[in-house]
Amino acid sequence: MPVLRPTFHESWHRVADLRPRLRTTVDVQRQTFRGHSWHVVRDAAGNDFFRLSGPAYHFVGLLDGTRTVAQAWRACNDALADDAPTQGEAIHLLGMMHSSNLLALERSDDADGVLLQHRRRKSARVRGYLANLLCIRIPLLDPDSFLDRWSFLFSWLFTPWGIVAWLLLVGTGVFALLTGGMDLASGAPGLLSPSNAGFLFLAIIVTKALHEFGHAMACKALGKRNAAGGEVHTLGVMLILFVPVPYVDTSSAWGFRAKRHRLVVAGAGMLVELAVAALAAVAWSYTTEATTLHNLCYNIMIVAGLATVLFNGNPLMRYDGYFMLADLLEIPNLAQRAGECVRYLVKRHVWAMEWIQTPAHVASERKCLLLYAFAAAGYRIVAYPLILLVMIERFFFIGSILAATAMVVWLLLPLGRFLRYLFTSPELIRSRRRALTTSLAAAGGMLAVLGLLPAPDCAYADGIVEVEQFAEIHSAVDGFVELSAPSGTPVRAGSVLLALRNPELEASRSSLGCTRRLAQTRRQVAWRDGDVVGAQTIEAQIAALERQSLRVEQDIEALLLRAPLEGTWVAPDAHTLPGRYVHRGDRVGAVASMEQVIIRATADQAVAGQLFAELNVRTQVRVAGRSLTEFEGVIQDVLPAGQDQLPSPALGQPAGGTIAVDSKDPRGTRSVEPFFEIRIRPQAAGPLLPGQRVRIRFTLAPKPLGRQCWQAFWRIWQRRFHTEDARGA
Amino acid sequence: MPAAPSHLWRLLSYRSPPRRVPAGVDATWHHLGGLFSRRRLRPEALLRRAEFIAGLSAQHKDQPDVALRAAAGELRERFRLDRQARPDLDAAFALICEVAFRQLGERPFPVQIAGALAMEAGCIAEMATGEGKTLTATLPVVVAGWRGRGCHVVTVNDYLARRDAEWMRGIYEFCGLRVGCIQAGMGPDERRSAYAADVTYCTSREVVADFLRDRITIGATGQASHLLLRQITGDSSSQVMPVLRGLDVALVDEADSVLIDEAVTPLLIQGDPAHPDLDAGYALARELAESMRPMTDYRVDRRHRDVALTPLGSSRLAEAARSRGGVWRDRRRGEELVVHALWAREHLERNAQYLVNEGQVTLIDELTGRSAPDRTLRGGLHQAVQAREDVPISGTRETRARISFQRFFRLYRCLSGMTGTGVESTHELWHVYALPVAVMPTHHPCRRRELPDRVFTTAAAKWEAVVAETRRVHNEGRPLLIGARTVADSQRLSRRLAVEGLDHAVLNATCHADEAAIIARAGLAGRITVATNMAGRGTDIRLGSGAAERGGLHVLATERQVNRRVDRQLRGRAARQGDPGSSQVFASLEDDLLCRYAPKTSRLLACLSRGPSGEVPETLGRNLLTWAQRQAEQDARRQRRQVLRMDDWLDEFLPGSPDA
Repeated sequence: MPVLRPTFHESWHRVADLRPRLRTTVDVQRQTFRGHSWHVVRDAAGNDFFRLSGPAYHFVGLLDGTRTVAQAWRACNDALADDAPTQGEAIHLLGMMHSSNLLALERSDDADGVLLQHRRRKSARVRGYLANLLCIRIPLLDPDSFLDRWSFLFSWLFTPWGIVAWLLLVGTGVFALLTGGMDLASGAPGLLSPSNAGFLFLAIIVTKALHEFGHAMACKALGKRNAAGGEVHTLGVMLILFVPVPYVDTSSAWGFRAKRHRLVVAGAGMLVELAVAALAAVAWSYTTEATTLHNLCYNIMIVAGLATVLFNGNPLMRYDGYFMLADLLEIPNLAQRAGECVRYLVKRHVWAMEWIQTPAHVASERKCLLLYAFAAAGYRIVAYPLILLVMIERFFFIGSILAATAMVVWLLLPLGRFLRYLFTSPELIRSRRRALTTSLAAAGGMLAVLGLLPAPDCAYADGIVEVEQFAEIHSAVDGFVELSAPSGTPVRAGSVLLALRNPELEASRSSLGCTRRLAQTRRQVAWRDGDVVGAQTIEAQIAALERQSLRVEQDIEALLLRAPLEGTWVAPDAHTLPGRYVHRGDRVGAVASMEQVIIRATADQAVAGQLFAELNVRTQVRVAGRSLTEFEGVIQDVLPAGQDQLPSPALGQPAGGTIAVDSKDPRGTRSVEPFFEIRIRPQAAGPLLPGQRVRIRFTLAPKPLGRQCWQAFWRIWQRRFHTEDARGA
Repeated sequence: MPAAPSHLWRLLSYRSPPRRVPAGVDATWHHLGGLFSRRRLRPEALLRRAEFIAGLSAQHKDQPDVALRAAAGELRERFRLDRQARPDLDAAFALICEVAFRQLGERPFPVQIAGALAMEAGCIAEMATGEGKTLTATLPVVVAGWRGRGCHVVTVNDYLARRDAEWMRGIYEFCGLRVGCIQAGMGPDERRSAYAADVTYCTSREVVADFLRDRITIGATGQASHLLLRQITGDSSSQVMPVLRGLDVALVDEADSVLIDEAVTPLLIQGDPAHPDLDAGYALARELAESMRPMTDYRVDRRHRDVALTPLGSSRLAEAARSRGGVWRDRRRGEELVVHALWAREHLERNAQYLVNEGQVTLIDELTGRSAPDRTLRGGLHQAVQAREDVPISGTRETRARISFQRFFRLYRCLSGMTGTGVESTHELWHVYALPVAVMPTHHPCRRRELPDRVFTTAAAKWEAVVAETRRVHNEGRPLLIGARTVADSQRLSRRLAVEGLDHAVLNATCHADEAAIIARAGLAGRITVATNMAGRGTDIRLGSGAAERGGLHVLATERQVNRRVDRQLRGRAARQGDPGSSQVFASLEDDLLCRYAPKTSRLLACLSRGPSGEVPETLGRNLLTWAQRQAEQDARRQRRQVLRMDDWLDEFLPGSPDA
C-alpha cells in the first residue's frame, strides 16, 4: 500500500505480546543534534550504541517489562499521534535494539537467540576485517583498570590548565623551529630512505602509542566528569598497510552528553601528538647534527607533526578527523548516512521512487551529507588505487594480495550486491525498469569515459645531467704549480689554466743549448779541417741535440696548461694548487662546456616503448629537490636495451633513485635489469649542472583512462615477470 | 483413543523456528543439491521398483482376508518400531495394493506405485490429472499411519477431504488404521479425536488454524514445556488440551496450490477489535474518498494495484478533514484511511474479489474460485470494503496469531506431496521446502488437443466469440466446460447464454450447493457447464456415454490466469485417463492479466494488427500472454519471497518472538 508510513504491519502479532525492557546494564544519555534531542542508549558491557529519536525513545521508554509492546505502542500513539512510530518502525526498532543487546525479552528460551547474536557479531567482525584490509584491528588487552589507577595523574590535562600548558608547549616548539636555524626540509629526502627505516618505525610506534594513550586518558578523565562510564576496554594493534600501530577503543565516549567532550576525546590523540612534536622540535633544534637523538627527534617531529595532520586529521578517512567532523556537524554515522543520502537522491529523483524516506533528519543535514559523500568518494577513488599501486611496486606479493582482495571487496562485492538489489529488491518493484535502464546508461557512460575519452597521459624517467663536451686536464709534465686560474672561470680554447714551473727543464734547456753551440763550433772546426767524416758525425750529433731540445721546448710549453675547448675550468681544489708539485699525468681539473649539457635518462621497456611509438613527445625536465623549476627538452636518441651500467650511481635505489641495482656491485651502477637509455637535450640548460639528478616527464598523446590503466598494469606485470611481450607498449 | 503422553511432547518436537530458507551462496549450493536429488529419483528406476511391487502384490491374490490382516499387523509393528528395511516397504506397498483391490476394486497401476515411492522418499510426485492421485496417496499414508505418529493428508477443500476420507476409509481400516476427517465448523473435541486418528484428512486452512489456536491456548498458559510439566505433575487445575498432536508427517494433495499459491496469504487468528477510534473513521473516509477525483487527487497504478494521493489530493484532504476530530487530527492516519477507501473502490470489484451476502463481506480465493469466509484483507482494507458496501463494519481486529503456509509446512518433520502441475515450480519447491519434484509418466497416453489461444482486443469481442464457440461445440454434441475467472464473469456469461437459449449449469462461489451433482453431470454429451476455478482442483469429470465418440470434453477458458499452473489445472479437466478431449483459451486485451502485465507498446501493436472480428494474430497473442503470465508469476514469486524474508528477519533479530 503506497502510504509513506503505514500504521499497521502484518507481523505485529509476533511482537505485540512481548514484554521487553531495556537491559539493566544499559544507560541512556540525552544528546542534542542539530537542535533535536536524541537519546543515546548504550550497553556498557558490550559497548553497543543505539540512537533513538524523541518518539522512538518515548516508545522504548514505556517498555518496562510489565507493559506489552502493543500497550506501549498504543499509549505512544495516543500521546504522539502522527509522530508515533508505526508498527513496522516499532518492530524494526525492537529488532535492532535486541540484536544490539540493549533489549531483554522476558523469555527463558532467549538463550538461543543470544548465542545466535554472538555468532552473528563474530562473523560480522570477520567480515569487517576482510572489508578493510588496509586497516586490520587485533584486540589484545583490556587496559581499563590500569587507566583507572593512573588517570589521576593526567586528568588535570583536560582542564583549562591543561590547555594552557599545551599551548605553551606547542608555542615553544614552533619558536624553537623558527629560531633554531636548522633547515627543516634538508632531511626530508632522506626520510623514506632505507637507512632511516629504523628511526621512522621507532618514531611511529612511540608517537602512536602516545596518541592512543591520549585518547584513552581523555576518555577516562572526561568520562568521570560526564558520569558516563568512559570505559576503555580494548587495547590492540592495528595493521595499517601491514604496519602495526597501537589503538584503543574509546567508543564509550560517544555516550558523552557534552559535544565538546566528545570532540576532545576524538582529538586527544592529535593534541598529544602535536605536543610530542613540539618537544621533539625543541630537542632537535638543540642537538648536534648526525647524532642518533637528533635523527630520532627529527623523525618523531615529522611523524607526530605532519603525519598527524595529514592522516589522522583527514576527515575523509575513518580516523580521528572523521569522528571530530561528525561531531562538529552533529551528524553521527556521517559516512554511512552520506551514502544513504546519495542513494536516496538517486532513488527519489532518478528512479522516481515515491515512497521512501529521506535519511536526512533535518533539512540542513542534506547539504553536509552530500558534500561529504562526494568528497569521500573522490578521495577514495584517487587515494586507494594510489596506495595499492605503491604497495604493489614496493612489496609485490603482499601488494598483489591486497589489490586482489581490494578488487573483490571494494569492486566486485558491491557490484554484485548492487546487481542483486537491482534485479531482486522488492523496493524496486515499481521502478525496476527505470532503475535498470538508468544504471545501464550510467555504466555505459562510465565505460565510454574510461574507454573512449582521451585523458592526458605521461610517463616518467629519472636521469642524470652530463656535459656533452668535457676535457679532463692532466699535467703533461712534472712541475710546481705557479699559478692557477680559479675554478669556475670561463675559459676560451687555448687560454692558460695553470702555469707550472720546472727548473729542471729550464736547466736542461740551457745545458742542451750550450752543448749544441759547442757541437756547432766543433763542426765548423771539422769542416775547416776538411775532416768530412768527423763533420758528418758531429752533424748527426747536432741533429740529435736539436731533437732533444725541441722536446724540452715542448715540455716547457706544456708547463702552461691550456684549455682544449671553450668552457668552464672546473678544479675543485684550484685554490690549493699553487706551490704544489704535480707529477706528469696527474689530473688537475677539467674543462667542461656548461652550455652543452645532455641528460642521460634510464627507462624501462614500457616507457621506452611508448617513446618509440609516439612522435611528438613533450619532454619536461625537473631537478630533483627543486620541483618548481622546469625545462623543456628534446629527445635526441633512445639507445636500445641491453645496457646494465647506470650513468651514475645516483640513479640506483640505494642512492634514492628508482632503478634497482645489483647489491654486489661495489660501484653501485650495475642495474638488476637492463634498461633503455634516453638522451635528452634540454632547451635552456642554464641552471642545470652536471651530476644533478633530474626527473623527466614525457607528455604522451592523450589516451582513454582505461587504456592507461591497462598499460600501467602491464608495466608492473612485465617488470615483475620480465615478460618479453611488449603488448604494454 | 486418548492421547498418549508422548503425543503431548511431540507438540514440542517440531522444528521451531523452521529450517531457514537458504540465501546467497548457500542458496546456490542448495540449488546444486536440488539438481542432484532430482537426478537421484529417476522415474525409470521408480517404475522398475513399482513393477516389482506389483509382482509381489500378485502373490497376495489368493490369501484370505484374515491372513492379509495378520500380515498387515506384522508389518505395522515393524514400522512402528522403526525397524523396517527396504524389502519391508516393498512388501507393505504390495499388500496395500492388494487391499485397495479388495476394498475399492481398483488396483494401483505401476505408475501410481512409483508415485507413492517418490512420496515416501519425501518428494512431490507430479502425476497427470485423473491418474488416481487419491488412491496413490494411500500407500505412503498407510505406512506413515503404521509409524504411529499421525499423518495429515492435506487437501484443498473440505469437500475433497470428506470425499477422500470416506472413499479410502476401507483401505485404512483393513490395515488397522483409524481415519479422521476435519471439516469446517467442527468443535474442539471432534477435532481432537480426528487428529488423534492415525490418518487425518484435512484442508490446509483447518490444520493451520488449529495449529494457531493451539499456540494461543498454550501461549496463554505459558509455554508448551510448562504444559507438559503440569501434565506430568498431575496438576489438572488449568487443563488445556491442544487439539493437534504435533506435526510429523504431512502429505499434501495439490501441493503446488497449497505450498505455493496460497503461501502468500498468511492465515490469521484474530482477537478483539483493537482500534475503535479507527473504525469510526472508515465511513467518513469513504465519504471523503467519494469527493476525490482520479488523476488530479489521486493516481491509480493498475499494474501494481496501487492508489496514491497526489500532493493536491493530499492538501485537499487535509482541508476537508480539518474540522473533524479523532483520527483526522493526524494527517498520516487520515490519509491512510482515505487511501484504503480509494483502493477498495479502484481495485476491488464486487462478485470478483469478494461477495456480499447477509451483511457480510466474504473474500473469494482467486485461484480456487471458492469463497474464503475465514479470510480478511489486511491492514484495515477489509473495513474499507465493508464501508464501501454499507455493511456493518466488523472492527479492526488485533491479530493474535499468524503464520504463513510457507512457514507452517516447513514445521513438519516429513513433508511430501503430489500434484498434477508441479514442474513449473520445481525450483521454488526445492528452495523453500527442500522438496524435489519427481515427474511420473502417464499410465495412458494423453489425448488432449490443446488448441492455440485466441486473443481479442476488447472483452465484448471475446464474449461474442465465446458464445459462438459454445454454440459450435454444443452443436457437435460434446460436453463443454467454460472456465470464468470471477463470479461476476460467470454470472454475466450465464445471462448471455440464457438469452441465446443455451441450457447450462453454473458453478461458482455463490451457487455451489450441488457441486458434486453439477460435476457429475458435466461430462454428459451436449452439456454446458460454466464454472469458476472451482472446477479446477480435484474435480474429476467423467465422460457420459457417447461423449467420447464426439470428441470428449472441451474446456474453454475465458481468460488466462495469473499463473500457468492454474491454467493447466483447468485444462486438465479435459481428456482424463486416456479419454479424448480438447482445450482452448479465449483472452482479451482488457483482461486483468493483460491489463496489468502486458507492455503498453505491444498492446498497441496488438490493437493495430487486429482482424475484422477484433482478433489479434495468433503468434502475437500467444507471446503477449506468455510474457504477461511470466511477469505475473515473477511478481507473485517476489511477494512470497518477501513474506519469507520478513519471517527470517524476525527470527534473526527477535529470536524470542513467537513464530506463529
